[in-house]
Amino acid sequence: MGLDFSILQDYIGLFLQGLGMTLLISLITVLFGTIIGTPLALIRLSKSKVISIIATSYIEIIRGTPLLLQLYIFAYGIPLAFPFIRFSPFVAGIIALALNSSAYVAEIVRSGIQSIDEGQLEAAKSLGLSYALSMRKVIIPQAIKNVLPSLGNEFVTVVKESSIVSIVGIADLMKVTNTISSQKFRLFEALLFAALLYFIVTFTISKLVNYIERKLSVSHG
Amino acid sequence: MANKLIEINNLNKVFGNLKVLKNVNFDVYEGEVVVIIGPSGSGKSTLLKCLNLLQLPTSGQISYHDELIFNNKCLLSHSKLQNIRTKMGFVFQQFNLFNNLNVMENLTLSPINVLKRNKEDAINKSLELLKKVGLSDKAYAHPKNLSGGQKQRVAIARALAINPSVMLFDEPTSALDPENIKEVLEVMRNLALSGMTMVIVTHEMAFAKEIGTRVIFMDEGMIVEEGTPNDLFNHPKMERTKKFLNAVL
Ligand SMILES: Nc1ncnc2c1ncn2[C@@H]1O[C@H](COP(=O)(O)OP(=O)(O)OP(=O)(O)O)[C@@H](O)[C@H]1O
Ligand SMILES: [Mg+2]
Repeated sequence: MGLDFSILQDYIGLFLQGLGMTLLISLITVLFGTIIGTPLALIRLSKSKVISIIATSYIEIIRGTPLLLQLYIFAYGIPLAFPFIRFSPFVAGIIALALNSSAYVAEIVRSGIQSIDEGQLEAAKSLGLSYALSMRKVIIPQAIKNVLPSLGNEFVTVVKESSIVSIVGIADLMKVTNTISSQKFRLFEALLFAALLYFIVTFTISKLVNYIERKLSVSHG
Repeated sequence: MANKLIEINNLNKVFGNLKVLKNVNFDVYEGEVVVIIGPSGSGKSTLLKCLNLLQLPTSGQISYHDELIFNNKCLLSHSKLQNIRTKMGFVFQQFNLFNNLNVMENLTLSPINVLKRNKEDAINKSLELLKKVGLSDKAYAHPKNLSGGQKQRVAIARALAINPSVMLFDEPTSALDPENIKEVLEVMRNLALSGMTMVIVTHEMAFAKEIGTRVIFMDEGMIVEEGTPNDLFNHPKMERTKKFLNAVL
């Protein structure tokens, strides 16, 4: 028995729908991961030990437990324990992925901030800037630039890891692939085609990040 | 007598168990050019950074315009502290230009965001300052494309852009090649001639002699001796001062 991709023809639209869902989930995840992760990095860097430990604990616990388990907590655990809380699978998936990603983004941003020469903050302070304003105008823009490749990698990771939400019934690329292959008994072809789609997306993101990085290093130091 | 701008009493600074400043007493009067000299590690930078509370002393008093701003602890709210810092321009050895901003943005960052000047005024004032430091053509250049001397002149203009009452210089030429030193000293000389109050930490002894109205010699966290440039350079009283001068002159 050879490979026969022609039977997938009728399902291209479905594959692309799944891909769209994967992209949507990944984008939302990275967006919220960054929105949560950046302040988390600042909190971890706080001079107050107590405040810093709160952020550190959060980050370490998230990074020290499986994503699948986190997903189960939001998709099944919380709704069971607190029946008045109702998430759709989609929302549960997004929450789990975004919280998970935020811990990794926080560490990326923290290393970025720490890579900035102390003199930058000192100069900002000497000009009367508050800590918050110094961070916003001087430190974080430089930190983000420095960690852009790592953030790009995180995006790529999220695109791949997001396939886990297929387990709770979200119709992402992985879920769609499973459905199609079980209907058509063409598992291998469907998996290969899905792999190709995933790869095109991650490869494009990587190239895009490289491009932006080059652009930035031309315009700024 | 001119107005007293900064008054420092019994200032101490300790890092761990290292005493970096020991009972330092020192005033700055309006219009003065105070030059601080001394061997490496004697606490010059620390003293300068205590003046605008970039570093918090361990104990002692600091007054600004007769207002006590530090008395064993900082007496200012965050916003008041930030406000006081805008009265003092600080120039760093390593320039510390903001790498994510161009020259103009470096100069206007604080005027627009802290002093709440309108953008157009801030830009015009910045252009004026850049002219003063001889860098009119670099207004929209990026710091990484400037030479060391140009960077330091931008840094001086940036510090002036907040309209400070006093300028603090921490070894402004120590990171520069010899050919760049002259242009920076020239800018500082003009500033001194214009009547700006200045406190300068430097190893440029000839320059100190020339523009200083008062010279302070520090060693091991203490002010060992102070006086007019003529007194200190030509008739030092203390052994330690003589030894230091013999080594550097
Ligand atoms: N943040 C810090 N933590 C610990 N020790 C410090 C710190 N900053 C300075 N020191 C120490 O304090 C002492 C005085 O430092 P300072 O930078 O004030 O000296 P300096 O006179 O400016 O020397 P230089 O001419 O080399 O610039 C040095 O021994 C230095 O190692
Ligand atoms: Mg120093």
